[in-house]
Amino acid sequence: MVCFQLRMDVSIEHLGDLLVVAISGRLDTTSAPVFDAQLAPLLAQPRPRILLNLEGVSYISSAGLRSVLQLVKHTAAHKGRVGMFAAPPHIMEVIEISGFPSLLDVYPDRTSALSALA
Amino acid sequence: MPPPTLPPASRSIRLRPELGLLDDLVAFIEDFAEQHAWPVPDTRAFTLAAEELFANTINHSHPPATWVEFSLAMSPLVPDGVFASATYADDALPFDPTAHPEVDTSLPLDQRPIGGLGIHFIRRTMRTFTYRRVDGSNQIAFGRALTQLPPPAAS
Repeated sequence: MVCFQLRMDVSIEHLGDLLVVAISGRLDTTSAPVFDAQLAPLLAQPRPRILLNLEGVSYISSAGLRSVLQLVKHTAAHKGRVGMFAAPPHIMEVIEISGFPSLLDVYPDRTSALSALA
Repeated sequence: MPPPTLPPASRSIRLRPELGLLDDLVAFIEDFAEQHAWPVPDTRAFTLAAEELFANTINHSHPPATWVEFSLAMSPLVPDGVFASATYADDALPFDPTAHPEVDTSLPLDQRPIGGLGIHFIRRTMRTFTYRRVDGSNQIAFGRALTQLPPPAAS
């Protein structure tokens, strides 16, 4: 059984001015608007540094990448960057097909991400 | 080596183009893939392609389409292997995704459009991708060879 998860969860961690956003489940056409709505209050103020924990993401479509791109554009507007870490290989494949690695900083894990952003 | 013997492998689902029915489309693909022991990467690729087309129908058909039909099928490849194919149809106004301009994924951030990646995914993950307009419906076909053979069918 392939058993893709059909739901998405988001948890937010504040580390100083760094926003660590952990996503799990499917970031697709259905869940991406939910993700956007959950992040919207946080993006009401400038967030130049956002770090995405993609370890728990089981599936991402163009709708999910659109949400990520909005975060990238938000941080860029405030002279910052989005970082991401721990993307499973099949998620990384979709991200690479999209050309996103040139738009954000990719780290293998949380430790390396946090030390690079310290 | 003779082509593998496969069980009858073709199934369809008809849906209203509503966001809340995306899970039904995904479940349909998962069930078919599980029944035929598809490798997970192929299941993911077909799920992604189907979702992108379904989202296009929901978000961009004006006037709104009233139905979507999605079919999956398998056929033996010579000398070996299995080709999986899908047909996606709707009754929206004519829209040929194969004629959609290529997305430039090398553009810098300030020139990056927010949308347009869905068709790019299909082009990159499928071997075939074709369009026909038939009797007032869009018919989009795509497919690829499965990345490994499914096990022999149970007798």
